[in-house]
Amino acid sequence: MEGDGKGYEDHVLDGFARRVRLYGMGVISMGCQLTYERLDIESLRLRAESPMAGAMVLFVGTTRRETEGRTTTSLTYECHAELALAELERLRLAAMERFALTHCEIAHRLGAVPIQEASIAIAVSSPHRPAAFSAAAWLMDQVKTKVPIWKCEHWQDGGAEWIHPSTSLPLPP
Amino acid sequence: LHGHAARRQRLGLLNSTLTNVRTALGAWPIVKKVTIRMKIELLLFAAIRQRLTTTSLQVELPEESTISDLRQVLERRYPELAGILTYSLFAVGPDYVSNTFVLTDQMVVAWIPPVSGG
Repeated sequence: MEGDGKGYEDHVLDGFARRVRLYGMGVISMGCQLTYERLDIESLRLRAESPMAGAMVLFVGTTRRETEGRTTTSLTYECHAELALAELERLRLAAMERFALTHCEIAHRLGAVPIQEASIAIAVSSPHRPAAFSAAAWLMDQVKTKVPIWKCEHWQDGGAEWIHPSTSLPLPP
Repeated sequence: LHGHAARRQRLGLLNSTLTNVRTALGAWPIVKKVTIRMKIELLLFAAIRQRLTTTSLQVELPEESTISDLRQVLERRYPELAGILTYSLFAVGPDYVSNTFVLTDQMVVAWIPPVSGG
């Protein structure tokens, strides 16, 4: 399996769902990002800062070496860029409303993600901490079941395998 | 009547004639029903892209086919993918579409197998 992780619509990558949005205090939000570059967690964190916030939760998902006794050498991610960006932005807006967030920033990396490096980062800020904790957890659950991004596990004992959990999508009507 | 509508009317006449001939002869089927065909482009990802060794396929379907019809065609053509197909969704542009969604000629449809991002 070649599992090179290059998706069908590579030309859209490194794009943002919304380019730039200005908030009341002049803070710039980038919204949702898909990129082949290493994730810039600090810049994501800065974008979610706000004088209206009393809490910020930053979640970073990283490549784990051991899974059920097997050793992973790296993960590669591919996506359907147009749908993934649209779906991420819908989730971002839903989270903003549902948890009354001050800011919400999501970035997902594509292509090869070595052990220990970040594949996803979510930064949410809110006036009080319960909303920020809940929003980060909710967003991760949603991303893992709704956004068209796929990972390929490259095993140390040879071989590679695309992960398609049979329960990740609700059966269509 | 011009163009498409005229073609549709001629096909309607032809199909009713075929039905009459079948009824008269009591044989089935003498000639298959004639339908307007259309082509869609189907985008493939992850394990499906790898299995079929291509990023997209042309699929020919009768006019006014739905996502359900597309599922049936794919199931017949790729029985080894029937399992993952059951758990797959389909999308057009930036939106997922339901099984009753009606496809049109030249539409680009994405086959979305269960996702594993994060």
